[in-house]
Amino acid sequence: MTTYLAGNAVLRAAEDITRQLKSLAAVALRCPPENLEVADEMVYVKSDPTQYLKFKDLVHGYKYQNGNAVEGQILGRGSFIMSGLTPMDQETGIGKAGPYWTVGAQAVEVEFDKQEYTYRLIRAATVMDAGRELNPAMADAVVKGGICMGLGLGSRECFHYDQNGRVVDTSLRTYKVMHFGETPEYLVGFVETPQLDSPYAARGIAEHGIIGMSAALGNALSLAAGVELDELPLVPETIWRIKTQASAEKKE
Amino acid sequence: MIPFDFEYYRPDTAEEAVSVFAELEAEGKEPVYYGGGSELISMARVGSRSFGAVIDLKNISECKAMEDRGNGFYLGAGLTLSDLVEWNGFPLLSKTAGRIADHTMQCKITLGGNLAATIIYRETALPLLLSDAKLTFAGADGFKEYDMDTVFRERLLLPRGEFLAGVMLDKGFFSLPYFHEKKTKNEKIDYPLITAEGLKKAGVLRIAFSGLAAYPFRDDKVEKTLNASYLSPERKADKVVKHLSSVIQSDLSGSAEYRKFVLKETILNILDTMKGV
Repeated sequence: MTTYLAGNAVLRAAEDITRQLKSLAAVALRCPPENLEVADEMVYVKSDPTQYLKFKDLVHGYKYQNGNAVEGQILGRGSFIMSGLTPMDQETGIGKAGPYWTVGAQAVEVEFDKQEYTYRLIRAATVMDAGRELNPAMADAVVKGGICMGLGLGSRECFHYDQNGRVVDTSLRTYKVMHFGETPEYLVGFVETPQLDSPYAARGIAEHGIIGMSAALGNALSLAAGVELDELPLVPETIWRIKTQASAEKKE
Repeated sequence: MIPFDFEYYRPDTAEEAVSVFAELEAEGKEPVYYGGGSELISMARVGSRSFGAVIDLKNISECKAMEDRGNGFYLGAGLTLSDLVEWNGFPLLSKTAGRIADHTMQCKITLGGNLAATIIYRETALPLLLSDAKLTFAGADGFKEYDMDTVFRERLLLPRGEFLAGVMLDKGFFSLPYFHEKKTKNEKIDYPLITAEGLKKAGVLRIAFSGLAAYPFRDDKVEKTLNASYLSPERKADKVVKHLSSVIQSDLSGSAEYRKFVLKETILNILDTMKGV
């Protein structure tokens, strides 16, 4: 969201500054503002670049040769609000709750021991379509981090509760998270469908890697174990219990 | 942090240790002996243990020694688990030590500390129970040696004021075929759901467990069943599970029912691995 919302607001603030720079420079350089270009921390006349003023001589106002000063500090202002949103209909669910959809696909490959109900994570893949990837290395890394977190949620994270809903874990040591060495090989890719009303066509990307991982893991283990698994975390005891119950029910 | 003040003593000899303990006890200072201190610190921080003084045993020579004494191999109770891993003279003991907690903790946890622990696992007891080890206690009357199975019943039976100085191992066990299976809830490094380990001496299988019940143990009936040649492996495993049913525990690592399943699978694996050995 930051890319979309704050990014659009920042672009507008930058346009506001550009207008102010051109407007002030037009007076100083005695030409129409539309003849000016802004680049390399300078404002210059397009048809005669030798006519220019540096930013530093404009951003706090402009001082004439004789000492008179005009305007003042240039402050850019921009804001952005999402357009076209409507509440979702209580009955039908129809409505526009957000500005866009970011879609993706995730998959997990596991090696499952049918005898002991234990398993190993081999590979995990995520392909996202978040518009343009502005920083490919960062996007790749943040999705990998998300995959790791999602698999942690799916395979080991949990608190234990008693009948009254109280946490019975006595220390954080029993809350297991993914460790180095337990992680799969990560495969990350991107498809780019540009977001036309977003800065540089990007939809922004953050926690996306987490979202489908538990489900992908659940599906992989369901196929491997031959029984539908719909409880998290997917520890061996859980898989054993569901499988054993299902086998017992089949026999009845 | 530990929310109370206490005194620290580091005696150079066993006599000093025992006598300073007695003095502090008489003064009402509630002294404790300690090795690595990991359990003591953990318990003190959460308020389940308090003491007026600690007596650090690690500087005492009988606690530090690691040597062949002719009639056996002596290991001081102050040796760390990582010392035992590096030594590797008795592979089953080294393997056991190397699978307790993680490497960082293994550099702190001592043999004596693990055996005398309040926490229920005491996995170093297993190779000692399996190899007829002898334990040396230090007390007011000096050093005394005891058979492991007379002074270790679920936990170490140390009279107040005495401490474990070391362990004497029978070298005849060092090169016997052995097995070590540690099953956990899901992680490699975790408390045991079940640790099942053992060895074969003159064709007879010995086995000991930690994590299965609320204490580490060996059981005669279990061993007789596993060594009964007229029973199939499946039958042996079922009998063992049934026999141990009443002591198998449920905890955050897993339920008793699941432990029974894992125990059966583990026994079948062990019988398969150790057959013909």
